[in-house]
Amino acid sequence: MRPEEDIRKTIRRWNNKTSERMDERVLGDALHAMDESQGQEPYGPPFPRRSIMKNPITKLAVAAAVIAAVVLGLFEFVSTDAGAGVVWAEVAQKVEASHGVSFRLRETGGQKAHKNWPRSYSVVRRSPTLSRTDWYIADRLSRTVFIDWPTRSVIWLSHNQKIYSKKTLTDEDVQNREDAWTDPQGLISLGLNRELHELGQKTIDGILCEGVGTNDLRDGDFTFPVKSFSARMWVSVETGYPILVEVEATGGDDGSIRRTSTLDKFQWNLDIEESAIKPEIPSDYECID
Amino acid sequence: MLEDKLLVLKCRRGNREAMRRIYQKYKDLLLTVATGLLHEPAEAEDVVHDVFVAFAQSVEKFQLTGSLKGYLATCVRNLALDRIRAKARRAEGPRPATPSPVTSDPEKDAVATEELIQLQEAMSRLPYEQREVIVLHLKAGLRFREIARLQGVSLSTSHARFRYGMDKLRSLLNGEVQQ
Repeated sequence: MRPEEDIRKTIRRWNNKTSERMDERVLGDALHAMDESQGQEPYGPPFPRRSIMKNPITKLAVAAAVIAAVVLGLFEFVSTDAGAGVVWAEVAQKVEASHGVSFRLRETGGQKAHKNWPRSYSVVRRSPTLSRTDWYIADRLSRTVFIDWPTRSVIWLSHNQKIYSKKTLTDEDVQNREDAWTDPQGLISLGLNRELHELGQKTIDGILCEGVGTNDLRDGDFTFPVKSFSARMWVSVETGYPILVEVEATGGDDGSIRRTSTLDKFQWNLDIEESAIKPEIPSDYECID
Repeated sequence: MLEDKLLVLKCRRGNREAMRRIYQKYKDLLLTVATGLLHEPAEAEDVVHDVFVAFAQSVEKFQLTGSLKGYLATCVRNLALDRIRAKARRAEGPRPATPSPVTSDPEKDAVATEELIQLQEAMSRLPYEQREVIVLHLKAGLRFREIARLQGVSLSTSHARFRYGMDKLRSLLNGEVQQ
């Protein structure tokens, strides 16, 4: 059963915005009525032609991928012992050189939380210019979000509700992208200057891995007061590519928040083309724009 | 609260800018409340329109004793109820107005929009009295005591309606929204 607090938050977040047409109609009539009731000569339509109601910029919360990125970027600064299987600087170079990447993402405790793991998760495909995320519930595709950054177009489909939306990103959205994790190369730039510690070796799904971790929290990583933070990344000794990233943060004003992110099933160095990942909109889907 | 009193005072003196500010301040909230109660965008807009026009007509003699937000939300509630009583609701209405999430991340935006659409649809399936308590309490910020007075019921009934409504919402949304 879904926590009641989630529903309360959703209701509080619920916000229907008036249209420009409605603003003109309502305020025009209201001001006219006010003038008439006070015996003044009614003015003409007084309402400004356009009321731009921009969404407030909220700091990106629990960007699991961002935090993961943080870890990724620091490999260059981790010492590599002579006997170690992974050369961290090379990992950073490989990640940076990868054109595209896909991975499976599981988040808990946040807005994009996945319930009923492992049957609910997201599959993310990203390149420097394209992004597609597919959400799965009980292994069934439930939602798709596709972003083409050069053209600033976003396509969102809700497969459960058979609805879709097409939007164009604003300058603000594009600017924000520079602060978020959107491509493998971005991982590197986001990850500088954190303190890392080596985790040694272990085998994951039959693959010998070497790990690195951090507890180095920085301002702006999370939107809530953090009590504890840890991130770990495991890299294949054989290929030198990351295969598992785990992030966990706890905190909140009452200490009740616990958010985790797990990224796995990585495929690095993919050529991601628009024709391959741009979603088709089924004819029976309704546009909600 | 103090700002609202000043705005009302200015409106009483015919200050049009003050009326504009009141409208700007509460228009989205009132539209959301009206949409939550009526579940029909066009009717919700009409209700908000009528509330503001009536407020403007009477502002010269208006005395603000409580919160302006609560007063306007109560007006929206009363007009919405009039409309509901005036006509039998259709079995299936149009899709509610698309709500606007407050985020600039396209993926979070999609998640939030989908969640809010599902919430609106689930809300529309609640009995009106329960929906009213939930919207007025959580969205308009009215206290249970005020809502009970509006509904002409006891405080405990108001609480119970909220509880039953939330339980039903949880049931309706279970497994559908969270992903």
